[in-house]
Amino acid sequence: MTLTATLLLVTLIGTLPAPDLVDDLDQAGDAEFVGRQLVVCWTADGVLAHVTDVEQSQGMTRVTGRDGSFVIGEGKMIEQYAGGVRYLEMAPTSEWRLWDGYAVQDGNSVTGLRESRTVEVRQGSSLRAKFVLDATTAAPLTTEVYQGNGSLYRYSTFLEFDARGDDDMVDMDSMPEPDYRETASAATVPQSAGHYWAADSYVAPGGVQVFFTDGLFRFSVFEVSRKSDGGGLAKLGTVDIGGNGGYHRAYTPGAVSVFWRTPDLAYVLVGDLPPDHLVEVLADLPTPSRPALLKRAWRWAFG
Amino acid sequence: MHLEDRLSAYLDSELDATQQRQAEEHLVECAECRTELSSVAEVRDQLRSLPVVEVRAGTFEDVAEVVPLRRARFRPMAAAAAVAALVVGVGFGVAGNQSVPLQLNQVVEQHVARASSDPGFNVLQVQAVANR
Amino acid sequence: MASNEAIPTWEQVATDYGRVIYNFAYRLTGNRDDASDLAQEVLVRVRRGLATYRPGSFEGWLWRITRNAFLDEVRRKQRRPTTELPAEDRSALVTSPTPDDVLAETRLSDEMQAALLNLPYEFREAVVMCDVVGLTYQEIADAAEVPVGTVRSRIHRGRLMLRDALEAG
Repeated sequence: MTLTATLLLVTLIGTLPAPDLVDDLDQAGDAEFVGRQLVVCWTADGVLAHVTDVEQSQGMTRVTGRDGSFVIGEGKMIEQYAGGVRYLEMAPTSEWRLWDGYAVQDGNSVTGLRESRTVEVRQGSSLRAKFVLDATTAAPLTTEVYQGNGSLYRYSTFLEFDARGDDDMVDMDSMPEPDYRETASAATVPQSAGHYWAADSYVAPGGVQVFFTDGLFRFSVFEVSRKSDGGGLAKLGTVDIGGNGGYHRAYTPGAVSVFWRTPDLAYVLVGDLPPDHLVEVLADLPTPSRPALLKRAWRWAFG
Repeated sequence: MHLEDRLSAYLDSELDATQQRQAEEHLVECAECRTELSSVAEVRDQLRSLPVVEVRAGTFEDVAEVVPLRRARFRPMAAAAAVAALVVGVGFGVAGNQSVPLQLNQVVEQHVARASSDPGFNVLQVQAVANR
Repeated sequence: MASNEAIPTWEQVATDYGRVIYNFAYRLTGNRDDASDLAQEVLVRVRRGLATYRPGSFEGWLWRITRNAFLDEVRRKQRRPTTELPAEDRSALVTSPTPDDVLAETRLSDEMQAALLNLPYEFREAVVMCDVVGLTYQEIADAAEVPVGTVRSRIHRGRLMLRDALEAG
C-alpha cells in the first residue's frame, strides 16, 4: 500500500462514520424486547429522572405511562389512552445520515445486565455519546450523552430487559384513519442551525414543523403564531440561552422544550439535543426580541 | 457496600462532583442499587407531579388586604404547572383572550413521530413523550 | 453579600410564597381547612417577624417559621391529620380534559397523599420540603434545625417508605 493510500485510509477512518453504526441502528430497530428503562437527565433546572415500561416489536416501540401508552415507529405515533386513540402519520421522510463531524468507534465487550459491547461517538476530541448495545439484538441497553465540556447530560439504562417480542402491540385493523401530516415549508426557519440540517418540513397544528437532525440527535422547530400561548411554557419565566434572553424552557428527562417570540411569530423547539448544541442551534434561529432588550442595549451603549 | 441515601442525594444533585462520579461508577456495576434508584426516582417523580392545590379564596383576607395570589416562584410548582400543561395540553391564556392555545403534547408527539422514521434507537426517542 | 438582600414586605411574601406554603401545609395535613389555618398563621407570624428580621437566609427563616407554626398548630388542635380528601377538593384537582384522565390523576394523588400522611412526621416533612416545596438539603436542614446528613437520610428513607406503602396499596 502506498503512503498516500494509507494516509487517505487513515483520514477516512477518522472522519467517516464506521459502517457498523448503520448496521447497529438497523438491527436495533428490528430488535424485539420487553423492558423497564430508567432515564436520568442533568438539566439546568436540576436532575430529572423517570422510569418507564418499554417494549419493541415489529419495528414499533411502545412506552407505557400512567395515563396510557404511546407507540412509535416508521413515522407513525399512536397514543392510546382511556378516552380514545390519537394516530399521527408523517409524509415520507428524507434519508437518515450521520453528520461527518462525528467519529464512531467500537469499544469493548462488557457484561452487565446482558452480554454486550460498547460503541462510542466522538465529536472532535470529546466523547459525545456512548452506547452499550446488547450483543445479540443491538438494542441500546445503556446510553450516555455528554455535553461538550465532558459532563454527563443524559443517562438511560434498562433495569430489566427480556429479549422477546409482543405480537399484539397494536391492532392496526381497529385503528381509525391516521391524522396525516403533509410536507410544508416554513417562512422564517433556516435550512441549517449549528451543525444540524433541516431534513423535512410538515404541516403542524397552528403552523409548520421543521425537523432538524445531525443523525445522532434531533429536534423540531415549530413556527407558530405570535399569539400562541406556548402551551404553558410562557408561564415559566424567561431564561438566557447563549447571551439572548426571552426564552422559556422546560425539561423532561427525555427532551428539552423551548418557546420564544419575535415581533412577528413564535417558535417552539422540542428535541433531545444536548445543551451546548442547543446554544449553537438557537444562535442560528430567529432570536427572541422584546422591547426591554433594546432598552438594555441602549443603556449599555450610552450609559 | 451500597449507595443507600446517596441515591436520593444523587437524584437531587446534592452530591459533589467526586461523589457523583463514584455513584455513577457504582451504579454501572450494581444491579441492586440500580433497582433502588429506579424506585426512588419513581416515587420522587410522583411526588413532584402532585397537582398544585389552589389557595382557597379569602385565606389571607383575615390577615389583611392582600394582592391576589399569583403563581409561586418555586421550581417544582412551576414545573408542575408545565407538566400539567404537557399532560393535558391545556392552553394558559397569557396574552389576553386573543391568545392561541398551543397543545404542547401534540407538538412533542409530532416531533417524535417524525423522529421514529430514522433507523433504530426508537427506544430513546419515545422517552420524549413518555415522561410527562 | 447577604446585606444586599432586600427584605420583602409581608404582602410580597403572601404573593410569592402563599401558594407554596399552602401546598406544603396541604401535603402535610391532607386537609384544606388545616392548610388554610396554617397558611394564615404563618403569614401572621411573618408579618410580626419581618420587623425584627435581619438579612440572612430568608428561605431558612421563612421555612423555620412555617415548620414551627405547623408543629404548634398540630399541638394546639391535638388531633391527627385526616386522610380524608374533602369532596370540594376533587374539583380543585381537575386539570385534565377527559374524565378518565381526571380519575387517574386523582386516584394517583390520593394514594400518594394517603401514603404521605402515614409517614412519621420527620420523614413526611423532609420529603414534602424537598419534592413539593423544592428546598435544597441545606435549606431543609436550616428549617428543621438538624444536620444535612440527617436530612439526606430522612428524604431517602421517606421515599423508600412511600414506595413500600404504594406497592402494598
